[in-house]
Amino acid sequence: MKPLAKSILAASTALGLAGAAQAQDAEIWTYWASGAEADALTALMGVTAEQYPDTPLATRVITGNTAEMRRALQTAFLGGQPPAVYQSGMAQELKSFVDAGRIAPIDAYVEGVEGAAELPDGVRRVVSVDGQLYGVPLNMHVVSNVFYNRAIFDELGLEAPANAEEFQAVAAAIEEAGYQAMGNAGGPGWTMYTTYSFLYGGLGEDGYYALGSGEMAFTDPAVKAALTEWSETYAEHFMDDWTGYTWSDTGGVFANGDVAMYQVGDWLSAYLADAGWDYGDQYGFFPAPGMDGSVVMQMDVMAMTSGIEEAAAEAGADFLRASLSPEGQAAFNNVKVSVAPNPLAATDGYSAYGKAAAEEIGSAAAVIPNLKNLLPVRLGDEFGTLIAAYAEAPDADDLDGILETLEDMRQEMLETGEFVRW
Amino acid sequence: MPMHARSTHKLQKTLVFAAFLALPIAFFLAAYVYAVGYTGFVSLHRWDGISPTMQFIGLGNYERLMGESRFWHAVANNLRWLVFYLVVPSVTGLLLALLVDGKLKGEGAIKTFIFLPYIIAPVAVAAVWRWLYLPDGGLFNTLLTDMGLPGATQNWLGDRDIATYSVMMAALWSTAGFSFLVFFSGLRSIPQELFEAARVDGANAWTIFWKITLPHLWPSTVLVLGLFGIEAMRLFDIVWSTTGGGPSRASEVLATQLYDVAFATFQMGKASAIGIVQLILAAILILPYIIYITRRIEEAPE
Repeated sequence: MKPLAKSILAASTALGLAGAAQAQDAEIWTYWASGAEADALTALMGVTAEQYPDTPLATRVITGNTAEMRRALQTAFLGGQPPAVYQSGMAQELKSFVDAGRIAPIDAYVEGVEGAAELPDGVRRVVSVDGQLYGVPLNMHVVSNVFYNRAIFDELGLEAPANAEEFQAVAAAIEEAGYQAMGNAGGPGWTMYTTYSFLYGGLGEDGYYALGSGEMAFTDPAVKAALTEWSETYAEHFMDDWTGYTWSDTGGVFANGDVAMYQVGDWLSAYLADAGWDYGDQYGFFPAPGMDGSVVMQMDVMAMTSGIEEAAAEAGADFLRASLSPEGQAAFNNVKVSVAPNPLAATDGYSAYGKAAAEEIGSAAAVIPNLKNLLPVRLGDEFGTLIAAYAEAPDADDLDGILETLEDMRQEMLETGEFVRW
Repeated sequence: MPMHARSTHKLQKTLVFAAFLALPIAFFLAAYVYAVGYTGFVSLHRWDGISPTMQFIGLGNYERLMGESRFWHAVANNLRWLVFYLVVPSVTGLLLALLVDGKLKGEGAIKTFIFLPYIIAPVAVAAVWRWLYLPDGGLFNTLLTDMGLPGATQNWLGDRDIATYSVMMAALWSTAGFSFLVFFSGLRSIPQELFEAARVDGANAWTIFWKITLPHLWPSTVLVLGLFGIEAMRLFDIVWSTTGGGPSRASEVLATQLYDVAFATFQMGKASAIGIVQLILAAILILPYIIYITRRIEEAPE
């Protein structure tokens, strides 16, 4: 055989083998690209390899967030090459793929996994549609904790506030001492997150779910009262120029000691750890006013696509079982500094903050999902955008206009059946 | 040449032309005609982008768009960007080219310094300018404070009234190098005899600029304005990376709104309608330029 022909044959064989190997490996798509997130996924893949050594799995990073993932999945579905499992948001994000017939129920796959039957009610609700489980909840982040700078609180002799009235007094004392009271960041999500505890406190658990399910009007007086209290308690005390900061920029301002309190989601603890801050020494946390022993959380979910080859589905199922197992959840959450939804996952590897958060969740009266994930996505996006614009310069008249706009959207979405009764 | 031989030669020539044209035509049909046609088709439907089926709603998406202040705000922002691109980076590039052209020592280093930002990816430009614009600790506000002007500090990217203009400054830094290079090349191609003759005739610098330099820079000007006009209509990267269209959608342009509507709120039909309107708007604004360029190419001596 001539050398050129040999080379072509060798290259073809190599390409063919590579192609065959690729075809055999079921893919797991996530947008955990770097840092603790990427390391956490590596740890989880390690557990999966231990539990299912013969399962061929490969991971692929889709850089960005849920929007980028959706774009990539759309292309993959059109091309008939979807991954076996992908990272999803909870609730409405998951439900939209169920409606499209793009993901498969996984009850049969994870049945019997230790701890699966003991997932908190609030967790199970937002990974299930019509009573069937569609996603493995992988990690929980509490978004209803207010982080505070212990040095500033000690200097001013302040105690962690237990309700809105106490919070207002604490914020006033902080501002009087020349510090900024409350951190916040621009974008359609962060300001909205800070309203949840007031909505939960004002509407109660059933009312909170009713609002997320489209059963309560945005113009209901109780909604307005809750947001008015939020405005007086939080929005009036947000730091200067917060609209020009990302959440991590504000994390930097908090770590510099210029802002005394910050509520953004407890991934902030990982940011603070990088800045050399330890829980209990430099910072502490308290539940946001109105939570009354409950927590609001959000989480990442792993979902399995439907209509894929049997071998890929089996490999994906192995990954899901490992992801939900106490070992997989512990490995992942130890590294990501989040809390495992599976209550049987070991917490010894958690950071000091992680242990405190796990304890808080474990003893919570209720674990409540992020409202933005419960609402139809465009309603959640509109709520976030409008409330952020309102918080720039709070005005009671503007609040009425915002609630009327949201109510119009709710009515329209009720007609188009976009709400889910969670 | 015999008759049949001549016709065979003509057929061969036609086949060669056809063979050369087949690939670009196929590419044009697949990558442009089909893509635009399919986008137009999707724009007549309600579709979340992942469902196997779509619901036909006729012109419903367009009717909704026309009634939304958010959409018109993005259109207005695109027009602001068009005016900005046609004036600010173009004139800045021209001025820099006139300044540098044969008048400064270390010309090579200065040219590189001016052109360098153009080759930096918009995402990186956005990252740098986000830092410069930080309200607390950002370079601009720090400088203003150090200069005794704390009242002049701004929330550059967080103030709805100025966010778009702040992004424009980042774009100016990034794109002026391109217009500079084009104008600089244009200046170097003007015969020096013209300048010498004008000076001999007693023309001052101002007259030379208006009567000789600027007319000879017309091809460069057409190129710069045309490309910047197109850039203004398809603008996405720097806005998305710097502000994400915020605060509260204040700096949104059509392309960022399209992306947000399509992939953050799952309204693929409406997003396609935005895309079609953007295409029509761009065609209306840029078509005269295309016609002009086409005529110049046709009129150019072979």
